[in-house]
Amino acid sequence: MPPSSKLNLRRRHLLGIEDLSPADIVQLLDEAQRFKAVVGRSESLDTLRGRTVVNLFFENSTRTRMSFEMAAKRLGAYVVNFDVSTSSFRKGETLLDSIQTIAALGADYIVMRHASSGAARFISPHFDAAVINAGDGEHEHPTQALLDVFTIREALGRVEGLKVAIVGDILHSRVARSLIWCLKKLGAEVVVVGPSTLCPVQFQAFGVRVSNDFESGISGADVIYILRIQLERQRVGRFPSLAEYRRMYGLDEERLHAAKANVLVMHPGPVNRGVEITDEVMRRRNSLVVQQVENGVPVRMAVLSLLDPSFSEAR
Amino acid sequence: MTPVATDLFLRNAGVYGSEHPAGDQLDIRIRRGVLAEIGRNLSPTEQEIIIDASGLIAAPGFIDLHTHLREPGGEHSETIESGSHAAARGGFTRIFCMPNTMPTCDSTASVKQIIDRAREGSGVRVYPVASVTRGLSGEQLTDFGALQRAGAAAFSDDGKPVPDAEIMRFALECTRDIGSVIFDHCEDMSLTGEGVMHEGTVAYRLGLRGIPRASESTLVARDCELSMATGGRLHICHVSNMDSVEIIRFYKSRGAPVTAEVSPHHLVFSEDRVGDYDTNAKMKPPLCEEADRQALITALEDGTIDCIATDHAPHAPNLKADTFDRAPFGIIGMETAFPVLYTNFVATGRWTIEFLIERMTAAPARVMNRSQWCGMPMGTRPHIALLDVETEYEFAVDMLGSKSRNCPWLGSRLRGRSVLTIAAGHLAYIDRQRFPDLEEVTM
Repeated sequence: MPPSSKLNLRRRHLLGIEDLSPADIVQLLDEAQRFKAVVGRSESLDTLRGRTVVNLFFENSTRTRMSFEMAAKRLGAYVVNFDVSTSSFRKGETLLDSIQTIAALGADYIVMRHASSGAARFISPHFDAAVINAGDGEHEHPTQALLDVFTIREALGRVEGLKVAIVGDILHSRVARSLIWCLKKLGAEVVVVGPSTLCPVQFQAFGVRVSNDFESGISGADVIYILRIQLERQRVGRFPSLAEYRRMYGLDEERLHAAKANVLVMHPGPVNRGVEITDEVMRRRNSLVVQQVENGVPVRMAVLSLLDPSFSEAR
Repeated sequence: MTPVATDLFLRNAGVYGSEHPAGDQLDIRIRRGVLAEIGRNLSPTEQEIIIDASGLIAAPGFIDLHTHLREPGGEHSETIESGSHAAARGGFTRIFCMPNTMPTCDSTASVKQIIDRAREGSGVRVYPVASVTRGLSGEQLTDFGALQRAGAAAFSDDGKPVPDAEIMRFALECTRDIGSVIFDHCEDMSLTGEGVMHEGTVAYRLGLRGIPRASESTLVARDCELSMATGGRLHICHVSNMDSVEIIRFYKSRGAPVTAEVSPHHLVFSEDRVGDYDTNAKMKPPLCEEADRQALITALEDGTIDCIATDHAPHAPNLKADTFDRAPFGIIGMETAFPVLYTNFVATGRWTIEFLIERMTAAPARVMNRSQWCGMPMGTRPHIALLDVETEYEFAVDMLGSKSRNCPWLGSRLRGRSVLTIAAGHLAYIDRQRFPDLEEVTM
């Protein structure tokens, strides 16, 4: 593999997309593209040889953890997995207690998922390592947004000027927040679509259009991004029922007619089949769901290789 | 060692709250712990300790209707003693402490215990507030009459509302009968839900659960209506948003026996202060928007909101060192109340010093219907804060009296602070750098 044209991002952590510049994002996407071209062609790269990546998952996530693990191993790193949800770390310990233990073990990269918004930023000053946010509560999931935008760029050749409709529970979605920042920074037009209890009009403050009507929301869109409806995150029903949700905001073949003929459909997974999206739509030629998963590995390789664990961030 | 200071002579202070015109340069004589004389160019006697108060302001000691002293049950965060130190540091000499301790202050024994513990202290007067319902359960009323006789100065389920409207109605009627007052924490917990900050664009950006304004304002409306209907005295705690202000304004215009307080942090901060998950900006009610802040300032100015109260809420450092959603609500506030308000409103020219002192002394005294707490009455044990409003300084940890550190102003440049606090004739706080010869002594 040819050496990277730029050394690194001149940053230590990836806490969210909001902190990144458009140039940072483009650099990550370009690097991911170079990795994608070589993935599977060579056994392993040595970019991170001798480095340790700790996957610290306080919430269960098979696909994100595996994707990070594969990315790290392809770069030649040692990978340690702490599945905190099943370990003894939880009992009576605060997050600070847990991470001080892990910091003492030594690591170059900490990949963390946690149920609290802001958790990655909270731990970052306590490590000498690079902290990569793999999802913090309802705040951000930056690598998901990067792989989504990578997938869009790969399919359509550009991001700028595209119209992307994000449908579902915007309020509680870390995927939606990261994706909104990422698309806006690259010059796309964003519409968020859903009932006002999950998609409040105040999101206009972030430069997106808010639509509580499905058909007008997706009209003219180049990409429809369907979010997983996360009922487990709701204390009380913010919406009358799943049946009502499907009727008002679920994507099926018929609804797709309201969109552009060649519209692309995306979903971060895992899918609630028959709720937010039907099987038929998922299986269509213009569904990018499989590419999204596939692109997770090169995008995370790019993140790991471009962050600089020894970079000192003046904060 | 200086001798026991039974006699003090404060020379040449700008005196506020006395019989004399506000701000006059006067001398204050305290004899055997009792206020003896205030006048121009008095002569000290030989046994009097002379305190040079040139360039300083002498104000009546501040009154705080809303503090949490955490004792019993939360002594790692605060005690009655450390809370009294915090008060004296801030120029407060009369403080009310809320009953959400462990156990709840809902018995005569608990009330008496607080009074006994406070008596051992610095002279700062501690007034226990007993709970409205037993164990803050919102169900069974406490024995208001017995608690009042034991020393309960008011009643509150602070931290929680009384959810049942009928129980609240009866509480207002029963406390009216004994001439007491209910301090009302207005919050509809079903609207708060899992909210941790104001529901607005900052919460949306950070992915934090929001608390809508209506969580407070709907309960303000309900309880003002009940106060109007029953004639029961209602004091609305820590008003935080413009909707609540309008409701209070409406009920006051109709003659309801309602008063209200506002906290310094709601007067100077808005939701933006949360920044990147700063847990020292997490409190209940939450910091709202700039328009709310402006409405609160106006309401304090026009009297819709009667007085300032800190809602001093200590939490030990390990509790606040957590993610925003898990950290407890509340900040400490007694040490910083005057400096922060002086810096933001008096030094900028918006308020007079007289107005600020009034809202921290006579105004809360009126809320409690204690005219004897107003001003500097002769022949009584004096409550005086000697204030330096000229020196700008950086607010530092060693200026806290509290056991806790959950203060959003650490490191801020401030102006105005008490350099000597006299509480009921006791030297409750002395700035040792300014007055190296004085000892903290009982008079």
